[in-house]
Amino acid sequence: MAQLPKKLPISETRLFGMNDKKQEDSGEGNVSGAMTGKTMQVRVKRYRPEQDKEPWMQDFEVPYSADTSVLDAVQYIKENLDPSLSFRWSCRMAICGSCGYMINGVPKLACETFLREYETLEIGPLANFPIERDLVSNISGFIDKLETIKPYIIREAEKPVSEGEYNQTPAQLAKYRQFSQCINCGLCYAACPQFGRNPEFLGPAALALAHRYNKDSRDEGTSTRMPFLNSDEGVWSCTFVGYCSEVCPKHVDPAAAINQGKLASTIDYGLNLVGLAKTKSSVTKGRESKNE
Amino acid sequence: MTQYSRSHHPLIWALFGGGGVVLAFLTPALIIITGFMMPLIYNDDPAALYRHVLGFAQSWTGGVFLTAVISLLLFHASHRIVDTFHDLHVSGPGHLLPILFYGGSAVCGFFTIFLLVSL
Amino acid sequence: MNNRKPYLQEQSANWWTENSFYKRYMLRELTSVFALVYALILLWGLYALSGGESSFISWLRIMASPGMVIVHVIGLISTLFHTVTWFELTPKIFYVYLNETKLADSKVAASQYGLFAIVTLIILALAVVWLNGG
Repeated sequence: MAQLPKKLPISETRLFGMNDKKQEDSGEGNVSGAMTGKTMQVRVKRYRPEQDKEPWMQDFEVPYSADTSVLDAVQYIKENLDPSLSFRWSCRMAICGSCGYMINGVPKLACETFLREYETLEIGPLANFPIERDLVSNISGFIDKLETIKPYIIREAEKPVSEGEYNQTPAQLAKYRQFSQCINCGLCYAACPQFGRNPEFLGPAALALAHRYNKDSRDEGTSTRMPFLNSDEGVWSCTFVGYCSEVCPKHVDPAAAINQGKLASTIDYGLNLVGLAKTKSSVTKGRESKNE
Repeated sequence: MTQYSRSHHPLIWALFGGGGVVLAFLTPALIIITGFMMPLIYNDDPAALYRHVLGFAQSWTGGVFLTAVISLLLFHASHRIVDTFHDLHVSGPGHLLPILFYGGSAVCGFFTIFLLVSL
Repeated sequence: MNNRKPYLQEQSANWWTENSFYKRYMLRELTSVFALVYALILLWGLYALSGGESSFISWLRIMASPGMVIVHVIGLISTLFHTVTWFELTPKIFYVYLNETKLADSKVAASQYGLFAIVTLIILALAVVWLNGG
C-alpha cells in the first residue's frame, strides 16, 4: 500500500545531498548510511532459474540516508552483500523505465522511490509478468503488444519531403500529448488485474499508445488500428479498475485512453452495423507475421 | 500469432452505460420515493395511492420511464456481476453466467413491457 | 545450452484483497447487486399493481416492513457510492474542451454533482406534489 512520503524541508534535503557528494568523492558510493548510522531491513525476492523451483525472500541490512533510493539500495546489495542479485536499471532519473519493481506490493520506479518513505522494505519483480531472474521480468510479450497496435504515424499517401513537414497547432497537440508521455516501464501492466487474469489482453500502455496515434491530427491509420481495439483482447478486456493510471509515473492516464477507446469502438460497431464504415472484423498479428 | 476478432461487447456496454447514468442520477431519488415516501409517509390512504401509481404507469411517459429504468438497471447490474464473477475466478459451465444474467435481463425487460401494456 | 526458465506469476482468486484501491473497485462493482435488487423490487411492484388494488396494497405493506426498509437504506447508500464513483469515471471518458483547453476532471465532476442535485430535487418535488394528489 502506498505510504505518504515523509517530506524533508528542502534545506535539509539539500544539506544531505551536499554531504553525500563528499561521501561519493571518498569512494563510499551513493549510500551515505555510514554517515548517519541508520540501516533498514530490505527483503528482496530472489529467483535463480538454474537452481530455484520458485521465488524466495532474502533479507539484507542496508545503510541509508534521506537521499537513498531503492535503486541505490539494490545496487548497495549487489556491490557489498550479494553480487549474484540481478536487476535492470539504467538512467537513475525516471525516464528510461527500466527499474520498475514491486516495492512493498506497489509497482514503482526504484530510482524515484526513497527509503526514507518506509519503515521496512520488500522488493520484488513486477507482478503479472513472468520472472526471468530475481528482479528481472520478461517483458517481451508487452513489447510485442506495443508493435501490434502500429505505434507510428500512418498516412494514406506520404507527401514528398520537398512539400515540408506536417504542421500541427498547439490545440491539435494537446489532444494526444498526455498519451505520448509513456516510457514503457510496464508498471501499469503490473497494476492491471485484467492483464494478470488474461495475458493476451493488449493492456494499458499499448492501448494508450494506440489512442495516442488515433488522436494525432497527422495520422490516418485509425481504421487499421481499430480491429485490434475492437477485439476482446483489446479495449474490451478492461473493466476500468483504474489502478494503471494511479501507478503511472508519467501521468499518461492509460485508463482514460482505454475507456475513450471503448467509446470509439462502440461508435465503430454502430457505424459498421448500419454500413457507414467497413472496418476489418478480424486480423491476426504476432511475431511470425511481423512483415505482413 | 494472435487472432483479433470483433467483440460484441459494444452492445452490452451501451446498455451498461445507460444503466449507469440511470443509477447515478435518478435511482437515489426513486429509492426515496418508492422505498420510503410511498410505504412509510404517504400511506394513510392506500387506495388513493394505488390510483395514483396506476395512473402514472398507464400514461405513456410513465410506461416508457418505468421500462427504461427497470431494463437499463438490470443490464447495468448484469454486466458488472458477470465481470465480477470473472474477476473472482468463478466461471460457470460454458456461457451459463452471461446467458443467465443477460438473458434474464432481457426476459424481465419484456415482462415489464407486457405488464405495462396489460394494465 | 538454454538455462532460461521464466517463472509464471499466476493471479490468485483473492487478488483484490491486496490493496485498498482494488478493494474500493470491488465495492464499486458490488453496488450493481443492489441495482439488480432494486430493479426487481420495482418489477415486483409493477406486477402487484397489475394484480389490482389489494395486491398492490399488500406489496406496499411488505415495503413498509423493517426488513425491506433496511434493504432500501443499504440500497440508497450503495447507490450513492455508485454515483460518486460514476462521476469519477465519466470525466475520463468524455474530455470537455473549453477554448481549446481541456476542462479539469474535478470541474466536470462538480458540474455532474450540480446536475445530480437539480435532477434529484425536481424528481422529489414532483413526487411530493403528485403524492399529495396534485
